[in-house]
Amino acid sequence: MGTNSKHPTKCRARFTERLILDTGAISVVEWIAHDIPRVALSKASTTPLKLSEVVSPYSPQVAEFFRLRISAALGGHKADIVENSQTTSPIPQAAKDYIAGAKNLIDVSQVLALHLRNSQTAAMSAGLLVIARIEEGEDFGIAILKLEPQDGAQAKGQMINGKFTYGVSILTDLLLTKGTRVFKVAVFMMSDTDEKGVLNGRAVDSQNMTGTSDLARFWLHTYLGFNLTENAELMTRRFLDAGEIFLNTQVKDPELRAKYQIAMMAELANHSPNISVKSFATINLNESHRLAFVEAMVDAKIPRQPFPKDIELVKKHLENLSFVFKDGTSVITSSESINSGIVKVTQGENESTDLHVREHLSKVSRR
Amino acid sequence: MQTAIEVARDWYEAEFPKLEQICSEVSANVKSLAAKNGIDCDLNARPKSIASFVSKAHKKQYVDPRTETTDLAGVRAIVSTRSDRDRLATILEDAYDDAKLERKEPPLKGLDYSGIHITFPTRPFGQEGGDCYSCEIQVRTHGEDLWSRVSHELLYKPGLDLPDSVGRPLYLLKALTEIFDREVENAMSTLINNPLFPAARLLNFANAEYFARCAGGDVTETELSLEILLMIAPLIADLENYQSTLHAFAQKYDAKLRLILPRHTNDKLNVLLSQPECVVLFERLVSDQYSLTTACDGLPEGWLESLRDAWGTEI
Repeated sequence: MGTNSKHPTKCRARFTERLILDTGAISVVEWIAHDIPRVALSKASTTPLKLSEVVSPYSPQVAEFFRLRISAALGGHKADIVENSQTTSPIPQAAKDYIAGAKNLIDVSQVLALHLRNSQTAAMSAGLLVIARIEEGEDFGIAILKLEPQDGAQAKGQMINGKFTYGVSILTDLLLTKGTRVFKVAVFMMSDTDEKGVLNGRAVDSQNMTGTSDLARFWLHTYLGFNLTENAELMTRRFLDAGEIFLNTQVKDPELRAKYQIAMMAELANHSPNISVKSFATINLNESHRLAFVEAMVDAKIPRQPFPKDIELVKKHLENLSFVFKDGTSVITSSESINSGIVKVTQGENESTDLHVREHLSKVSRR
Repeated sequence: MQTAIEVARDWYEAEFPKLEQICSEVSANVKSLAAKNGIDCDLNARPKSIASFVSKAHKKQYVDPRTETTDLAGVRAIVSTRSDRDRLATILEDAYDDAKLERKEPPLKGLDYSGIHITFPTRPFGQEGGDCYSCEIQVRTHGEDLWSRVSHELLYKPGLDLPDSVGRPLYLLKALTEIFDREVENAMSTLINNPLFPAARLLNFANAEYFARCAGGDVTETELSLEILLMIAPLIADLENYQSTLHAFAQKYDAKLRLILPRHTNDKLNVLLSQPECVVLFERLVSDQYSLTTACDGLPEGWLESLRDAWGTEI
């Protein structure tokens, strides 16, 4: 049976600010894999599950391969998560038991594997559940990865009737190719437990974890037993607020300011379930503004990685733009009016702004 | 009653430790200024020996050797080209208060050595007020330095007049040292104008940091390195100062690089990670990933992503 090579006798108290995990500096030390078949929930208890009994053989290449895939996943659509005190999932306790040294990797992995088999439905893929010990400096923790099979082709040189050719075979049991960028991952480190013993972590799912369907909620809520740490509504509003501060303090050209403002509003109004600061900057901002924009967002505690979007708090602000001038003149217009050219914003003399409206006048009244 | 030279000698012997301190401090400062400005130089520094101090006082008939000797503390900086020599001399003249720059250019028929001298008054660090001591920095090319040392041995030390049978070959030798410097300058100028020069310089910088942290593998390709670095070179405004930028980056992330680099030395799948220029790419990733992404637009899909994944994210 495997044992924890090092574990504290009690959890280290968490700092007031969440510790940063550098996925470039982690090492995957050991892992154990369980094959989880696809089976209907009603048949789960009667379908035998062959559980692994020892850790997998170690290979530096495989360890680094896992690390790169974890790094890729967490560098993408990562969410900060906190354990749900009402959950029936055994995972929060199992992770805490491992970190505290109360249980070893094999025992914990078997609990996690059984829980996955018992909670998945027939509409979910079979796959390999990998539970790995990861370390970063003196910090350590557990990574949970669900890998789903993919197919691919392999070419091998061979001789046929004395002549050389490449034979192509189809492989249907590939699990983690270089092309696999997003899959189900959760990471819990020793430093993620706070003073009250509540476990925090980081998770990724190729499906949106903020969706309302059972499938969308499965990985985070049903299987792991966690919730998102930060309210998506607040983060979305913070993105808009910090973005507007950036435009008004660091973008001199009024035409660009208007263009960027419209882009932010369009970003919030589109159907994407997430906001990515880096993608937004790349697609919408001039090269000279991108780095400063991202840094301004990070300073405002908005994650670089994509985070879930919820426009509940900002939707009434997404229809119109307001231009307020130094003398008190204010103009309220829509992004459509700007895009169609009815309202034009350009740079004037001496760093002033020219705002030009060409439309039929409906009314002039006192205010 | 003691003579002026005896008084001066006793004074010099007592002050000698301070001059050693000055030599050490000025030498360190010259090294730092040269490095910051991308100038390679070899340095040596020492106070004038007590014997030389006394000997010179007699030879030049100084009234007060303490103030008339201009090179009590001596530092010599030897550089590769005349343009580097001129550049470093200007930098040093600006760096010290009351500095005087003198170009040593012997007449056409002379065998004296050439170079640039910068003299200035200074004190050892920590001494507030009191006497200043004269310091002289000699900036020379390799050819000038070679001739200076040889001529010193042949012309000054023996204390004899030079016979014609020795003098004529010496002129030829001096001319050779000047040809050496001139051809070095021409070669450097030609290299700098080679389109691959920036990439080659970057590769030198990258190799220094990469091989300090891992043994490298069998799959490293120099041609690929130059191709990648040609894409990156336009992102670096000041190529010569980039060496110190890269070094500072590698020092800051030393532990992380020592973890990542050895894991990929023979990685045929993640090609960029097995190449020394990955250190430059990591530096660019941290400093300005947007420009890096644009510059690497033509690379095969997944190459830059693998690099990003290996470097990781702080989450």
